[in-house]
Amino acid sequence: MQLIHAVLGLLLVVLGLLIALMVIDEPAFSTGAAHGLYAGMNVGGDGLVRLGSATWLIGWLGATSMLLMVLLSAFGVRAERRSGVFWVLIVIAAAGAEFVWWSMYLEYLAFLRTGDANFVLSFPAATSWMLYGVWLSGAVLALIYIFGFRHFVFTHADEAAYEALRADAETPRLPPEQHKTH
Amino acid sequence: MEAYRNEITIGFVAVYMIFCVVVGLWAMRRTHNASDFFIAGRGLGPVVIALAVFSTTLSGFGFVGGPGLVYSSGMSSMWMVIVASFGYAMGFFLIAKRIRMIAGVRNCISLPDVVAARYDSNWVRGLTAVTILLGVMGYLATQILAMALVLQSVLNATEMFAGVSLVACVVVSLGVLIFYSITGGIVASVYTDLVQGAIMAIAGLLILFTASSLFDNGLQTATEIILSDDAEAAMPYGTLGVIAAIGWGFVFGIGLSGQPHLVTKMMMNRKISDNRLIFPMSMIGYVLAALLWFSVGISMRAAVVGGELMPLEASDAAAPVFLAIFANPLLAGVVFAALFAAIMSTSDAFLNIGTAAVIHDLPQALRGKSLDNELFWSRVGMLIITLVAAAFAMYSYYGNDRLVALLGAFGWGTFAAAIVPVLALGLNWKRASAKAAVVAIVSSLLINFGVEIFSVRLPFGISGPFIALTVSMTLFIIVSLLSRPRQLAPDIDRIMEL
Repeated sequence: MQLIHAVLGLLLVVLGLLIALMVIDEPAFSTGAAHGLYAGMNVGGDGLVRLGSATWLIGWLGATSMLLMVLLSAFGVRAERRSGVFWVLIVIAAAGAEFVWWSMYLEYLAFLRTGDANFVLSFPAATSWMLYGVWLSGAVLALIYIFGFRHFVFTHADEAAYEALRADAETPRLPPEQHKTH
Repeated sequence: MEAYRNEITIGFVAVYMIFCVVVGLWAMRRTHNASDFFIAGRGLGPVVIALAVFSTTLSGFGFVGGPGLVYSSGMSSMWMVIVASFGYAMGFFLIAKRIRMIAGVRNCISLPDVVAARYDSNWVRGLTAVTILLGVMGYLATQILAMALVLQSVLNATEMFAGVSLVACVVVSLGVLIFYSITGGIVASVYTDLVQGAIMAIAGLLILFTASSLFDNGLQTATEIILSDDAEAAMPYGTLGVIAAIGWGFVFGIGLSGQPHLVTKMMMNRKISDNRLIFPMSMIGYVLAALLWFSVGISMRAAVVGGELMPLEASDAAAPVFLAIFANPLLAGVVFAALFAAIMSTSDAFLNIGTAAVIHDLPQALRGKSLDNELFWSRVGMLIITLVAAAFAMYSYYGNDRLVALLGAFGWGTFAAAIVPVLALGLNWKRASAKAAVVAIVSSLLINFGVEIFSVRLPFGISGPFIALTVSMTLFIIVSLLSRPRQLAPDIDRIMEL
């Protein structure tokens, strides 16, 4: 299976989950409501109620989206350069993104059930997973790009080949009859 | 110093505007042809590109609309920001290398040039140019209006300029924007971006410290206050719910690779190997600048809920009120200058790509060749586009805002849905076909425009751009797989092998 097929598969899963969400019953105030006291401010209300029966559909929608972003990044590396080491690094990035997503989501669900916010680094644990975790899990891809640049993205051989191609494009072409006279 | 707060703010804004004019004059000497005007002759260094990339990404929305969204909806809108590391990763992995290669080998000066070279299709070129033009008009109109409103609020706070009209503010701010954009083209744009980016990053960091110092235990106290009022606002998905948050993350993460004003910057660097420096610098700069978005919104919501402040008249007032009440006058001056910087850096980037679409790409698509004396017509075209966008902005403010709202729908989400498959997938997959590119662009426009025109409300906060991006990427791959593979031009084929 090629990587583009995996990308297509994940897109179809996202589409399927979106369609499923469109056909199930939507709880009241699923996107919040106006604040009772302050104009211009919204409230979310009871999180468990507004998740309704979509709790796990939503969980998988987030997880699939995160995985899709990692695989799309991998798709930017030429197939021949996707070595064993590259795949190990991508699996680490994907596992990190999934770990962060599920930790955040499950911590959020736990808060909704218990009301225990459990502050970590100035924010409720679930929010800290979002603010610090999501950003940092994406930064793993940045590290792969920076330190793997000459191995996976643009090798010295690629650079030489590109410079040759560019030089060739800049060389003025002589008409065929002039070639014959030289 | 407090007594001179307004004068200090005006001073910073005036110095910044004078700086833009000087840069425009300097850059004019370095602009000799259309290639210099649109892509700076592909000769820029990594620091300039990095700061230009991130300052272009974060428009005035990040300084006004972003904090306003956190004030009104808690953490929901943070999903537009925290996926930036994924967004930049996809942009650099999928696009940065090959867009620069094609631009270098085919002497491309615009994004539609690149897609025309990749697909060997004037249809794809023309549709991309039309999409860009529609998006640019909407974006530009809103940026011009925001710029004038901010200038008016700054001037009205003083005795000397109290009562200054909105039209006068449009004339002054547009005068500066037009001058440096037309005289210096993209060279002026990226060098002003350089300073704009630096100001934005510094301002973001300083505002975070200011916001943290407002509460006894920093932002934890602010979050506790918000949590006690409405727990969902302080939770990771905010008051709009999990799906709205995921949708924003999806469209702003994957969609970053489809923003023409941003990816065009990736055509301008001197060396492709500079990308490994540009990527981390632009990502870190963006995160620093976005700290303002987050910290102002959180602290203002907590201050109002905690009874420290009266409720705001509108959520978009969160940042201006914060600056007026809590920020040191010098810092407020810097941030107001940064706000102008954010709006102008995005506006000049849109002006640049919009002008390229009208003067370069559409004639190429329709006639098969460029206009004669392209540099002259580019300057004329840029002036006309600015004036038309300004007219839209004024019409929306004094008359009916429906037109700008419709064009605004062709904003980030439509660029994402229309351009991501064509560019991000197409530059990495030989099998991608011109027919698939046309289907992807048309489907994205139909879905985004349809949802806006018919005011379709989707359940759970699912957004039109979320559906449009998913559908357009899916259709692009399926139609390409079903199309008969076509032989690519030898140079493009070779580039796809690198």
